[in-house]
Amino acid sequence: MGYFRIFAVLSVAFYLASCASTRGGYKADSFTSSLPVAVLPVNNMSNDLKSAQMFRELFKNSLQDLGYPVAKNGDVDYLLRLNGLTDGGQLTNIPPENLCRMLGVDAVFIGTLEKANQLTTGIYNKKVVRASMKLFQRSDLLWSDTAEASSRDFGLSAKAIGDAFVKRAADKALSKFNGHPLLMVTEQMVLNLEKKLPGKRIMPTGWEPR
Amino acid sequence: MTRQTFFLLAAVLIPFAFNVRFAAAAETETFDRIVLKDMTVIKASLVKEMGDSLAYFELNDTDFVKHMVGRDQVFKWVRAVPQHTAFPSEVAPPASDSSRKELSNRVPEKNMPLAAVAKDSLKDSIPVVDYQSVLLRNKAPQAVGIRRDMVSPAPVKADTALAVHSRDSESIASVPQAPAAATEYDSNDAIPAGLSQVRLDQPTKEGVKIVPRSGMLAININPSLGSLGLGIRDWTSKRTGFALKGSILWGSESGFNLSIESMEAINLRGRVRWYGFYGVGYQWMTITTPAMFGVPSSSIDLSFANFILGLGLEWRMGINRNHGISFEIGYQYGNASYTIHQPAYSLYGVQIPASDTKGSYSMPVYFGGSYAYYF
Repeated sequence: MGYFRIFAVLSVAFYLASCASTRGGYKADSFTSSLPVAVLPVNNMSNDLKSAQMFRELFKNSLQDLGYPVAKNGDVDYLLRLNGLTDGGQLTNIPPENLCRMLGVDAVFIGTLEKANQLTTGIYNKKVVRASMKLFQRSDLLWSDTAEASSRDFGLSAKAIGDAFVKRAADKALSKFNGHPLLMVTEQMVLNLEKKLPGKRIMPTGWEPR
Repeated sequence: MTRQTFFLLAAVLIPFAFNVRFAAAAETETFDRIVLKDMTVIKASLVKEMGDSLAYFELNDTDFVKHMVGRDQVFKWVRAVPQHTAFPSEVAPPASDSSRKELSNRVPEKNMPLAAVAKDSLKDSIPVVDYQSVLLRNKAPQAVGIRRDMVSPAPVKADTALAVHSRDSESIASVPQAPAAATEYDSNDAIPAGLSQVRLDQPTKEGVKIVPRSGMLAININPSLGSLGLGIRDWTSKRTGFALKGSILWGSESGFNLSIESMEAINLRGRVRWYGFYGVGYQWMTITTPAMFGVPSSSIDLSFANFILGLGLEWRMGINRNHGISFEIGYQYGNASYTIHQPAYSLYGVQIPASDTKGSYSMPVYFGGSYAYYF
């Protein structure tokens, strides 16, 4: 009976700690390995302006971790802007093959940041980020999926943790997102999304200093 | 109005009036203030975050000598507040993030004095753009004598060159200028003129760009030869950690043990971490002897401190490296002596006193494992 209680406590703790949930997605049979891609500006359905950019940047980095050659985001923005496209919301009305032609790539990721919410009550904080991504090769849908991450904490300083994370990360390009309250949750969501993509990730040890 | 009422009103209104004046003055401060931890105040312009440092030029420094100050030395950074009250109703409504960037990246007119607007560092080739100056000039054209250029956040088809100019603009003028969007993402990758196809960033070769974010604090289950426990494990630094355990004894004994351990990592890289550990604990237990040959069963309560010194390894798993198993082996010092008082027994009607049984309890070898879930 005593052991059962221990496992019951552990089960509850694990449930509370788990911060990821997923939905079913789609993957074409032909999509088995990495390919050169471009990540387009995401359609931001949330109220957080910076989260969309942060998500896109993190997602691009995660694709590089998975072995994908990825177009520079600046180049993508530049070429899209030449064609009058400045916002991710505009891209949903344009055929993917046209976008591929504009950018000179075979495949593009088109995504939507569905949710980037945070509830802060001083002590209890809840953060939720959810996004969906689609990969088109010309006009063919290769992959589609949605990921979500959330966290709940009581009185923890997310900024301090974020500072520590950013200092730890080798890529200083992300430092502009340092202090963003949704940085860690967005990163977790990107990692959840990344798990569903073909590719081989260079696995870190997990013992990197905080 | 009585005199008392007058003084009371004066006491209330005078500070209020001064506050309003101070607030109004603060609202129109057009330069940044950097307050260091030693309370040195720096009036700065063109402040830019560069990693762990702030790069800035001192106010009114016509030579534009670039200064750097570490963020850890900065007590407060008060950003400049533009004089927005002149045209409050004409500010474009907020749009998307990219539209906002577009708004900030518009080129000022050709006849503007460019040196004060934007410049870049020849050393590190990082463009530094004073967006606030650009916005101010766009919003207050009369002040600088240029044509008003209110920018709509709507998509713009052309005109993507950016106002990135150098102090030494003649020598830099031929260098292709980078759009601000590019500097936002890839600060060292200027977009070449006439770009018609995206350039690719190659896959990660060394390390990863996104590091799993699992923490170093875990709850863990600790089965060992003599007990089953629940504990907390925390790697407080790159090399050191500690663990707290509470265990219930199993096997022939009953009781429980509380212990605290200090861990010292041996290797800092690799999927498996080796570590040495030492700990101290206290154990409460009951030893029960079985009844045999007419001698009744007896129980002895023991409590003693124990010390442990050992070696462990932990392997963290999962894409986030947020759970792992570990094995530990060590030498455990600590014992307790006990005496069992046997009752007298009867033999052919003769009461024969039994001698006491003395013994000691120790478990010198510690072998255990652990499953840890890191938060």
